[in-house]
Amino acid sequence: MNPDLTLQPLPEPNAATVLSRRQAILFAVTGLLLGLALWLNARATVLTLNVSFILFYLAFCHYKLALQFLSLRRQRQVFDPDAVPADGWPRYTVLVPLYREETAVPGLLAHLRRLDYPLDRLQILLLVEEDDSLTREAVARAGVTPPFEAVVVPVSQPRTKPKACNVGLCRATGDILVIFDAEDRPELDQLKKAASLFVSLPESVICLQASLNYYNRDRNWLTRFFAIEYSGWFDYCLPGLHRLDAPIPLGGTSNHFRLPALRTIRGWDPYNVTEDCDLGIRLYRNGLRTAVLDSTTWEEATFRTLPWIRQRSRWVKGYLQTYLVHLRAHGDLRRRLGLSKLIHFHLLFGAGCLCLLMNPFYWLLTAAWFITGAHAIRDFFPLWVLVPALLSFLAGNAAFVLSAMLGCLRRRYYHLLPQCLLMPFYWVLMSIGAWKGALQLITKPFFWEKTPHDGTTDWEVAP
Amino acid sequence: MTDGQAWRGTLLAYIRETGVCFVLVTLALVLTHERAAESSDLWLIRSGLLRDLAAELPIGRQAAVSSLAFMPLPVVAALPFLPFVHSAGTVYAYLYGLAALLALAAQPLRLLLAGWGAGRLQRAAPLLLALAAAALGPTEHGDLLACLAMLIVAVFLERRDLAEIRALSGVFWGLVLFAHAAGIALVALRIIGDVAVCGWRRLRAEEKAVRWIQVVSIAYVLTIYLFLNWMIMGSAFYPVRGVSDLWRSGHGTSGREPLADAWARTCPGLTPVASGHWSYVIRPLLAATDGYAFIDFHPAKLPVWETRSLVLVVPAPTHPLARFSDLRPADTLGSARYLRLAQTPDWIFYLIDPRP
Repeated sequence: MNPDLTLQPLPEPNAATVLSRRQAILFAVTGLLLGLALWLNARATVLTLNVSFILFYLAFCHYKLALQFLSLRRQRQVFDPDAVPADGWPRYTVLVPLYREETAVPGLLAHLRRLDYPLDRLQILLLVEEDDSLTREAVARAGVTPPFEAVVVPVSQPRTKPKACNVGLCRATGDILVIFDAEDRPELDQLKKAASLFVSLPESVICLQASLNYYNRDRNWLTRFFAIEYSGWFDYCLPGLHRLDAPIPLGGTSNHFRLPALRTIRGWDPYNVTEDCDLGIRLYRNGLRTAVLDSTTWEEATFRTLPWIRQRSRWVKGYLQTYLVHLRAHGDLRRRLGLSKLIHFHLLFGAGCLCLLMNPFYWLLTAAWFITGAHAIRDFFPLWVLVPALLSFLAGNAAFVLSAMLGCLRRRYYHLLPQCLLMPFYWVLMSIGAWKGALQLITKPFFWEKTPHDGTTDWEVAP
Repeated sequence: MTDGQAWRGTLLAYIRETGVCFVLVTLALVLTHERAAESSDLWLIRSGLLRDLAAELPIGRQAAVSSLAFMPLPVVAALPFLPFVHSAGTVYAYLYGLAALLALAAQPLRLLLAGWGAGRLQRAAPLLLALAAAALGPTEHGDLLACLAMLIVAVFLERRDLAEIRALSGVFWGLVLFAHAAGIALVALRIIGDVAVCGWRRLRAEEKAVRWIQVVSIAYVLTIYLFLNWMIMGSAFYPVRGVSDLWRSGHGTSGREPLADAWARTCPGLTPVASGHWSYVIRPLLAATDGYAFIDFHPAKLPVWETRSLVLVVPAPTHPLARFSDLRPADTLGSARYLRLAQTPDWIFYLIDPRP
């Protein structure tokens, strides 16, 4: 792969521009029409919007629950270490992008040294930014000997993780490539599991996504919520998507790729702040598939509220970026994905964000109704709207809480079950993050909200 | 066969089984309903309740949640069918709703029977449910069918080997409670029996977690019921407030004096007011005299412009309809706002003082 290409935007559609000209015109026209409709008949317009959102909420709620229901009967993958002969393990490249991670370096390197994989088949690339002297010094202090290599990522715009990954992709020599973050603690046999699973899967499956969870989950209330959320997403939703052969938004880390295939689609979009999620859909567009790997990478959960909100804002911004990027070639997307998979795309990428953005309005509306009983609000909830709205409010929210509990049950996080009842408070934080991300998409679309990691937290592989 | 094909096959089998059961149960309920309509005032109340709900009248919402004799699940199940039935035939929506609930239980019942070794019976699961519908549907215990359906699903889920699916049974135990007042006793028995038989301390951590999720689910459904009462009736415990009246049943129905006759004889020219679910039974009289029906009556609820002399009609304590009247003489009718105007063996008439 030509190193110069790593710094270039991907072929269109890509995230280098937030809105295409056509999209900007479409948004403007929609806004104008909405304004006109409000001016002509405000009540009917608001009622129509309300009904649309409620139907949309119900559809999204059913979708998420269906995904989880589908994954209930998931069979555990049986890892067969004999699937690959002892001297036949493929060459593995591990990419570890590091930026301001000096405190995390010693623990990371110590863990990667313990990976159960033949050292002579391993290449671990530590991707360090040119202007991040502290991390470079920490890497040097830790001693970079094979299979470790330090790769300096030149300073240039955009300053994103995918750009660093693309630099690493140019230097990768393996047959399989995986990305780990600085604070990641993958299960020690994860590489072998992935390599042996690749052997049994069709060539079209070029990516395996491992489960992510948190080793510091009991640090405080926020990390507990985070662990509950991840248990539901990685252990329930992703297997459900896999079972339906739907596009899978990748999880940022612990994605294992067949390297040649990854090169053919030119790696990651350097302008996308959730490059993983974008890559998931680009794989699918190109007729390639992602499967779920039954192995966990333990991460460090952000445990302070403001950094957590910043991290969430980046995720939502990236999801919106991805959604807008792929909407640009909607006809092509529909042809390549087919109608049912296209619905997955809209529900996963568009609906998920829209729900987070709309939630505060409905919470406020509900609170105002209960407190004041205002007739102005009742006007927009005639019985035929009220019943599905109540169903969405009472049953939908409860179903999400229940699914969080089931996630804890599967992970054997029994002590977290009571906290699942407080998930609505966590959803408030998620919505705050979503709004921050949506606004930042306008003001600073390519700005990478760096998530600080402690990197010193003791960790242990949970049972 | 791929995983996806197997899944689609299972889904299609489930849809087929559910569809067949829905048709059979609907037939059983509809064919037996005519007899039921003549024999029970409950059908008048049910159809009136659904008609008011469809017309978006507050009394319909109040009637749907305010009484232990009419739990919300059968009403909720009827709602999707309301747009498809004529306003004079809302009772069919109720029947279709019950049939839908029973149809959901067909496949679980079949699998339960198979698990219990009743191999030959399992194919007849839809027929068994249709028989139950024909037997219970026309009686005043029709709502028990909804309870039965949820019970079957709950027991089915509880017998699965996967902890997550067992935990889900809590939702259906909650719906058992939401379907019929008898469900309250069933759920209480299930929880107490579980703790007594299994012993909480002896349970494995996973089983404790499953039980915990089940109990939380049941509690949530109960909370929804209380919440709806708080929102619609103004008191979370409104249905329990009337429980003494629910148990105050009369004896026999023969030889009773119709209200219209008693009214014409004792209160000619006055305007009747009725409170409680029983008011659906006397809607013709209320319509003819331009009277009022309430679920939870209070003089302050009367229109301020009302100047006619209003008479609150209450079934006498021994009348069978008395259990559907949620007024308690000791609390409400003993006040100075009510003046006993007339009394027959079956009816009591109170003149209302409309002052707030």
